[in-house]
Amino acid sequence: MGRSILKENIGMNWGSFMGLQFFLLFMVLVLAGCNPDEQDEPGDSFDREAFLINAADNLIIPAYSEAVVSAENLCIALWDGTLEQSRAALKECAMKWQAVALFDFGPAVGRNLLGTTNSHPCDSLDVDEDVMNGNVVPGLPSTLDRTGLPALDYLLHKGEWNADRLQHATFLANHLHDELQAVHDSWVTEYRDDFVSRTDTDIGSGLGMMLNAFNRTYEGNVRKGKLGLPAGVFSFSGNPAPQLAEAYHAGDWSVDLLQEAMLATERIYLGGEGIGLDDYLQSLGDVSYGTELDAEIKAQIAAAQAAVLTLDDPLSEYVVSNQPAALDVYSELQALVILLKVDMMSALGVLVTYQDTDGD
Amino acid sequence: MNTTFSSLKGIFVFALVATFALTSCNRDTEGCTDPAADNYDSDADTDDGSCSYAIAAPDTYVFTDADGNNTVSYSGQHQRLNMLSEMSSYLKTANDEGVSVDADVLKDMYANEDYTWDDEEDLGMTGSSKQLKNKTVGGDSEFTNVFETWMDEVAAASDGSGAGSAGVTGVVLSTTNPAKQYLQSAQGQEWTQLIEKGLMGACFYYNISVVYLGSDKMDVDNTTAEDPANGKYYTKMEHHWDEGYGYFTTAVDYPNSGTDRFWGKYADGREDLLQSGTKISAAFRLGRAAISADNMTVRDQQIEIIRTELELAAAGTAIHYFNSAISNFADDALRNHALSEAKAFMWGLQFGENTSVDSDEVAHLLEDLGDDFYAVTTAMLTEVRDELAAATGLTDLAEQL
Repeated sequence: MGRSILKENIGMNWGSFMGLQFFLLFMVLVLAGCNPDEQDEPGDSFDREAFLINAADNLIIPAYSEAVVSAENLCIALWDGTLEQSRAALKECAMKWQAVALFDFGPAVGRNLLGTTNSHPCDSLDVDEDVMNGNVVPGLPSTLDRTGLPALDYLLHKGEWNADRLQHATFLANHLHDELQAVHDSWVTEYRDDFVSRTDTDIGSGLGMMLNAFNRTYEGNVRKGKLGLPAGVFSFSGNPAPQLAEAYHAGDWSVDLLQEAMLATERIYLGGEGIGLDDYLQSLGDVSYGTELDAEIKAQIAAAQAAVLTLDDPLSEYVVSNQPAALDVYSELQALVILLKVDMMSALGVLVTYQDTDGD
Repeated sequence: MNTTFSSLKGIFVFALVATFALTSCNRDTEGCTDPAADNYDSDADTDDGSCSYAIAAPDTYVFTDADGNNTVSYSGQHQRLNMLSEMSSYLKTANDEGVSVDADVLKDMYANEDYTWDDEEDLGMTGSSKQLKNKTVGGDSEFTNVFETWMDEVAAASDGSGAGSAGVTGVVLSTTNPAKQYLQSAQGQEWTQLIEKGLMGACFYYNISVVYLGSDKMDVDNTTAEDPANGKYYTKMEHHWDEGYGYFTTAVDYPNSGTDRFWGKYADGREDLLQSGTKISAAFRLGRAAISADNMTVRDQQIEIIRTELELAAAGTAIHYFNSAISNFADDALRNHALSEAKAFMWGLQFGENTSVDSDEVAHLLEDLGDDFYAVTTAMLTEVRDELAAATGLTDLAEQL
């Protein structure tokens, strides 16, 4: 529309030519004249609002929606289905959880969604007790390791499947569903607009919260939780700790969860089909912290994903029989931490806030 | 024709630029945003550091009279800060299993009776008339009893202490940070934090906000030096102001130093989001300069700033510890520790002048928090945090603090 008016103006008398000049002047002022300070900030030409909108509408909210549906299906399978169907539904729910886990900020933090959903390993003795007594209160510090996916993994895969276990599993699945639903609803009804409006790069900005949560959960829950701990990276003796594998009791889909988490990591980096962190880095220009870093991160994501494919389930057995190979895979996951947490965060000027160095 | 054209163009360009200055650049208008400054610009919304005052505040808390004599003294406050430092160090020895602290020793420290201090800075603390107890909310036994009860409890808990856990008093080890362990009650209350942070509120904060910046201590003589023959070159008003400052920090060059303990530390901890440290220390310096220049308007503005910003620093610190408890939720030792800090800072808010969180509100918040830190949920902590944030105007920062 604006362009066609311009075309008509060209070639008319100088009065309208003057109009064009003013239009151009106007554009120059809009693009450059306003706030000279902002010119100095890296990546200032990048549309952070569009980035946040894409993240919220195409990544975060859909991830929650899908997780809610998968939890619903788990409840339905427990009510009406066979044990096999319930197990399949649990796996699907755990797979959908992987993307959600990386968005641990905002309403999710307020409900400790990460803690109540996936504190593994679960304390199977406590879960057995809860089956008998049936009075567990989810959300307390002492009950984190007896609710959520790990407790369901235990209930559905170990011991004798009976009516008491079914009842308790149903209770836990309902709770899991309700918590996911509550966080989803918070996002849709209020948090989404707040999130996309925080367009700067400060501590409370949308970018600051999202990237801190992304790095913290990739580092703590993916790299460490899914592979580092069972492979023995963090054990004093250096010996593998097979019982720390995620979905330990199911046994045959621990690696699937790690693969899914790596796909989710890649989706966040690329922004799905939309504006992602890769576009942000590219907008910084053809420099070491711009396009070059983007290429390095993409290469490392690919390398980490390829490495993960070499693992075999049951992961709990693999880390014992092939510990050196598991440690090699771990180092590929670790290399990505450096690129994302150190290099990318400083390139984007976002402060890493999750290492609490508080004194006494 | 050409001349007309270009001059016309000039006018248009000028008009266009002027329009921009008024519209799209409006939010970035820079200038002096301090109403107390001579060149205060009510249109400015970003401070550009251009504020100037008839009264010039020095960069450090150093003030002299016309003859160059030092007029600043807060030795009593310095002693009390050091007393609390020594008391805290003593209390923290009980964070090792089996190491006990003595209730009588703690009470002697509190009242400075028959206690021999380390007194590393040689302030003459041992046997001096200065004490924390009679300055705790003016020595009100309703509050001094609270502290002495905590001292009895921590002493009893430390005696033959073993490992602590839910329902068991003792030393709780962090599961995520091997360097951290704390003596905590069966409900996860950590007395050391209640006592130290509680005294920051009931003693230091109360004395700054209510006592020394209050009218009893401010509506006093400001013309004659108290006792120059004995080195007291300050007026009464100057001295009272300095005593308020001494409860904030004993460092003259804050925040270059003085960020290691008490309000100087926690105001600095809130610097990123609230600029607490710089705002409070700058107001102390400017207010003191105003007193020396006998400008009560500027002084009163600084009193307002100090009271407001101290409350924000205290509330912001409590909120910060709620967030710390939420992020360390599954680690009993760290969660309980953070909640004990949060509780004590929140409790202390009632001791500010014109507080936004009076004793009723504090009681209400503490009831919502509950006494058992092993029985909290993240949703509960978030709710109390957000209530506190709403009461103190920190809602927008509640998640980031």
